[in-house]
Amino acid sequence: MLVLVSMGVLLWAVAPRTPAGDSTFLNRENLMQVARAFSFIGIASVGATLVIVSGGIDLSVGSVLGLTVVVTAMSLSAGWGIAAASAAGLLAATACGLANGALIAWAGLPPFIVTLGMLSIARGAGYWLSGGRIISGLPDPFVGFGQGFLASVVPLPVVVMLAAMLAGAVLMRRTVLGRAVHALGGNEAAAVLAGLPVRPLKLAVYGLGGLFAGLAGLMYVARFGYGSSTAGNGWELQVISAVVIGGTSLSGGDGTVVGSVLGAAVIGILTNGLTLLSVPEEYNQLVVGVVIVMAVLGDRLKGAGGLT
Amino acid sequence: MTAGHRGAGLFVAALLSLAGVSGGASAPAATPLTFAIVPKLLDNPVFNYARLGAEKRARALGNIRIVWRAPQEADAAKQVEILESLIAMKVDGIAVSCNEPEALRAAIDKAIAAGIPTITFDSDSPRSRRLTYYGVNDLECGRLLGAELVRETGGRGDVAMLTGMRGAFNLETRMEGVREALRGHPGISLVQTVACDDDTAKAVSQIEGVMRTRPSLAGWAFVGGWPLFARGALDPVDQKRTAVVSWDALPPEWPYLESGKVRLLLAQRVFHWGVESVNLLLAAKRGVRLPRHSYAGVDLVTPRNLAVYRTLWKRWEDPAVPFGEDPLLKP
Repeated sequence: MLVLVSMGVLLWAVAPRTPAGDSTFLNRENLMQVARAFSFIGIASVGATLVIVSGGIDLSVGSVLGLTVVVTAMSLSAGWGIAAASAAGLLAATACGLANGALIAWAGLPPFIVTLGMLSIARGAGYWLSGGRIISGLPDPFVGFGQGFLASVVPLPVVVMLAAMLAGAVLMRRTVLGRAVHALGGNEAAAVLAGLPVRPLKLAVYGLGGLFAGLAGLMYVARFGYGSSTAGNGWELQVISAVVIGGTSLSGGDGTVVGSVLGAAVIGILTNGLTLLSVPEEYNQLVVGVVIVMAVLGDRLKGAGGLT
Repeated sequence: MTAGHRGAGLFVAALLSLAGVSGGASAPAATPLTFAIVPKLLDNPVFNYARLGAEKRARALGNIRIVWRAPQEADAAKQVEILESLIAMKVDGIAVSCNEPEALRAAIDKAIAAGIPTITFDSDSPRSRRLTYYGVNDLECGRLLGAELVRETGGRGDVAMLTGMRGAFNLETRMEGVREALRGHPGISLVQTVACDDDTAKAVSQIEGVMRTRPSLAGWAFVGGWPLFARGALDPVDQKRTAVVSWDALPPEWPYLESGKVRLLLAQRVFHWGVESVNLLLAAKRGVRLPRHSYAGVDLVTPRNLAVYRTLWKRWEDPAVPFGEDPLLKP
């Protein structure tokens, strides 16, 4: 939170002013645009938090998002209704997550390798299904949702992100499943000895990871109104960065979904801020990397567990 | 069409008539030829059209088999592996779009040394021994895009530029062309360049960011079509105030011309990457000496000529219509 606030104050101070003297950064429209831009990473980071807190990792998030985009867009352009097409997309994503979970839990394969394989499988499946084509001309009500606003202020993808965050937070803090996930990530051997159903737990965690990546994919299609198997290429690293910036430990057992969404906000605001400040392209990437590392470092030195 | 074939089409046609293979009516050779085409990556829609073109041309010629190989993601090292396996397979010709000019050089030279006619398309490896390069001249086309931006803005005001991956050779060259074209016009100044890492979502949010600080921007030049695959990408742009010109003219981008949000699309001949690769490899196979460069033409697509372009595109896409002399392209 501290990082976010200090970044906000800094950008408010240095971002250019409009002719009327208002900050180009700290105004409702810009903040809402930024929030919409990072909402996809934010939604996917909710599922990724579960996975990482459970002591695992999911490298397939970006590809699963891409597959969902293809499946949903193709179903829509084949004349399916919005509900059916969305269900098809979410089903594909959840199936990928469950496949990850089954291989990790029952075959005992390392999560890194299984999800790395899925990264390639889901991306390849999206390419195969779409034949490498861009799917455009999607029906208006669906695209209307992604480009719409709640009370003409909050973009709907942001509303979905907040709902996903709330659901994730309740799940993690207030349910047996959530506590079991923490226990599993804290000490797997102890979790087994305590009689926790470790295998079904892993299946559920990766299945949810896939589901949230799929939800992010649905929002992607709705916001941008097209489908392509290239959607979300490389986003897994942004999602994992968001989770880590948000204070979740990569070794498992500790972390919050609210932190992860704030982590996604840090990355989103940073990208927006650099554009507003016209930071020359040559330094842009470098600055992003330095700020991310500094943010996490500062947080650790402060002795707090994370941004929240 | 504001611009038509720039030499290359006619040139290839001349070569082919020399080689006696003009049109689809040539007599099939006894043994079928296998031509391998290696785009930068599988997962990019532009190469999909090249594939359609190559396969259609091969079918029309009758005795050619197309092997389509590429890495899933843009990766020069993987392309080298692919080239080496194609050399081992002893294919009859290779056309490659290079992810990195120097990384592919040794593999291309090895194919040439093995007696396999090898050419580049779309993205060149100029220092290799490849027989020819088919594709646009990125510098010239960048200048053209810049000149159109100057024209659309009346040569006045602040303009911005959008690119994809930093350091990509072809994109850097296009940007250099745009900058050169702007340099001669003191009234116009390039105030910001943003890179979207070839990511449509990022491109859209960067346009939002730039328009936020510079609502009175006079123009944009996109050196690739990334944001225009999405709908609503130019919502923050006031088309009366800001002129947008962009590289590429794939079907999802057309509605932006119709709505007037985009003034001009510079279209590469994506189908012809495949068609001309087949033609050039066949010519080389028949002993024709190819020039070092076979520069491809571009089409300048505007709201006024979009209908014609759409018709052309449908013909290119239609498996039943062979490539060749197109009545629509005659002056």
